Amino acid sequence: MLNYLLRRLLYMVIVLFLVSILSFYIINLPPGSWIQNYALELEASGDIVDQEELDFLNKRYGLDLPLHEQYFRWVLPLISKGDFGESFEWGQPVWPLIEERLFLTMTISIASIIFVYVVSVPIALYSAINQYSIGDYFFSFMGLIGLATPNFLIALVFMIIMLRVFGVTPGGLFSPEYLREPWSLAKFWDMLTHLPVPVIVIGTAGTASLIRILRAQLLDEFQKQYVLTARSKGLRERFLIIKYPLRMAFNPIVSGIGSLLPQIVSGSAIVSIVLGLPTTGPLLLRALIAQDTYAAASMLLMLSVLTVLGVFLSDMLLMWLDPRIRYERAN
Amino acid sequence: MDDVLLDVQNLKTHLPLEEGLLKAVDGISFAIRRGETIGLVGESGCGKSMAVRSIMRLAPNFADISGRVIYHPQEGDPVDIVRLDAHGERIRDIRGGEIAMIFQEPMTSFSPLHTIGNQITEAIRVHRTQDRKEARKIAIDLLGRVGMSNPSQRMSEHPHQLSGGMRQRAMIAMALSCEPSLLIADEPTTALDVTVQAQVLQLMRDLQDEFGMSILYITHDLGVIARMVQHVAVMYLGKIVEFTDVDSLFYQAKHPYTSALIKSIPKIGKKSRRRLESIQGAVPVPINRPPGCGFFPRCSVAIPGLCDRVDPPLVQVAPGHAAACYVYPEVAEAANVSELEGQGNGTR
Repeated sequence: MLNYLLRRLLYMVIVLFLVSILSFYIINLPPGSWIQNYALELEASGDIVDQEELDFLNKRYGLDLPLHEQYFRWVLPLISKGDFGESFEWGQPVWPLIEERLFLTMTISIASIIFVYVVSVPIALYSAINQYSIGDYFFSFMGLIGLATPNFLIALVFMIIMLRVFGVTPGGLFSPEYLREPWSLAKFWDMLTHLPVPVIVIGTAGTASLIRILRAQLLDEFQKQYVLTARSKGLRERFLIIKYPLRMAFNPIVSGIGSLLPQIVSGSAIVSIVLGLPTTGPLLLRALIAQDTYAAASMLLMLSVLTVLGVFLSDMLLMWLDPRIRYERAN
Repeated sequence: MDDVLLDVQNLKTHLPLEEGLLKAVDGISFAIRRGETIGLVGESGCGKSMAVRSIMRLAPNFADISGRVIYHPQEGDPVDIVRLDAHGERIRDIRGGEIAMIFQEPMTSFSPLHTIGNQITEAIRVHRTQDRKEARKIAIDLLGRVGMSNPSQRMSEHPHQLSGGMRQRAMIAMALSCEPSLLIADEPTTALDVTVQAQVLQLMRDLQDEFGMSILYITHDLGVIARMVQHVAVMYLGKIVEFTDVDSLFYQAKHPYTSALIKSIPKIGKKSRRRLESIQGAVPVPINRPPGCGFFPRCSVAIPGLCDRVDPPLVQVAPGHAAACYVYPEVAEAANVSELEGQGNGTR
């Protein structure tokens, strides 16, 4: 068991290392660099381009070095001191820039996952037990709409409804008065009240697909012999469905949490822009456009860390749920 | 008739499918006395599993069940199981508590996620006692009695940690945990290898002596029938075609289908060099089946014009021996088709 955990940990480090190289490489694939963009921008706005300043910036950020040396300039301080380097675009260290956004991204993602599960499990159960009933068709219809509608469109519709019906501007995660405030209980509560709209918008597609998967899974399990055995023992139908088929149907869903996480993080980027959420999405997009290498690579790396951790946790959960997997891995 | 435990009268289970009406069980009648073992034999797909599932009310929800299944409990009034609500309290009391079932596939009959102990004590706690510790004690005791080594450790093991034979033993322990009056065994040894099969059969006989329950034994294996049961019902296409004691079945089979079945048992000895006999043709699919004897297309003594027109009823043709075949005048008489017979160009 310990052996298995250590092996997993090693794999995680290797994966993150590869991710860091790959993302660094891809960020630098487009022609030009941040300095060139910066110079062009200055020129376009009619400012005089100071060659000395450009040379100074080039030196300072090491942008004239070959790519692998740039990579080591970024990754070595990161490993040794936990220093993510400096954002070219913002002229300040990367970490304070992304710290809060990472936290908010995770908050929204986890809340969305919880929302997806809380909504889809009862609906899938109902649909599977009452297969081909009016309710089942209704939920299938709603689910298909949820799957087919782009998230940003749902976001826009929500914004209109919030504005017209409730008279509140739904953008952002905080009320204006808390925007620049330090964290406090009041600010946290304020965030919670703003959470439902983005969570519903981001979670809709996931909910719809999870209902489909879980319903099919349950219908499959209902046919299994062990359900008949449970019935032949005289158990209550409701009790045995929750104890046996639902539990079995949960396995692929638990193992799916790991892949749900990156889906939600990347899927929420556009929604974040539309709803004006202070998550990593908009910042990452901007950093990528500006070729702000350190900021972009750091954000991608941190999101990968969270995803890899998520996969790991879902695997642990799966082992806890399924004795067969536990048995297999312990040996 | 005082000692009758289960009286099945004209039980029909019809399944409306997209392809048509599947008459999986089409009017079967038999009775099981207390302490008796009855065998239900037939080829795959003849409806024997569906018949016992209907008796337990475990047939699919869309199945249309009719007829009567009168269960006579130890105490209290007889109940007609067919009239009960399939999800109601009374049928749940009967299931597991009074009629228990063992299934064919010990591999898939247990939930792989729960321990053996959990799945056995669950039944005990539904029917016998609320007390966890007592339920556990009963379960450990039973696992010991079905011949499991180290029963208290087995309790916390999962099904994948047990061999097929051990799983079937656990299954038997689970079925017996609430001391049922009737045990329905649906091909309990089919998935096991021969030596384990022999052990499990012996175990079931011993346990029957000990608990005194009746057993309804479903199988397609005539060897198992010879070993286990006193009376046999032979099923073909949803109907019982012959009902008799086990000796007459092997030596004086009346129905052409039964005789053909007996002939197709491989023999060891002088005759073993002969080619193995088989029944020509295949079992027809019983969807939208026309009236008439289901065995007609495969039968060597069929009477055209009669057998393919009217269903032969199951009628006593010798003491304690019933068959559904027009070869016997009693059957034709009971079906009131003697005048029909003249019209056909029947030869016997």
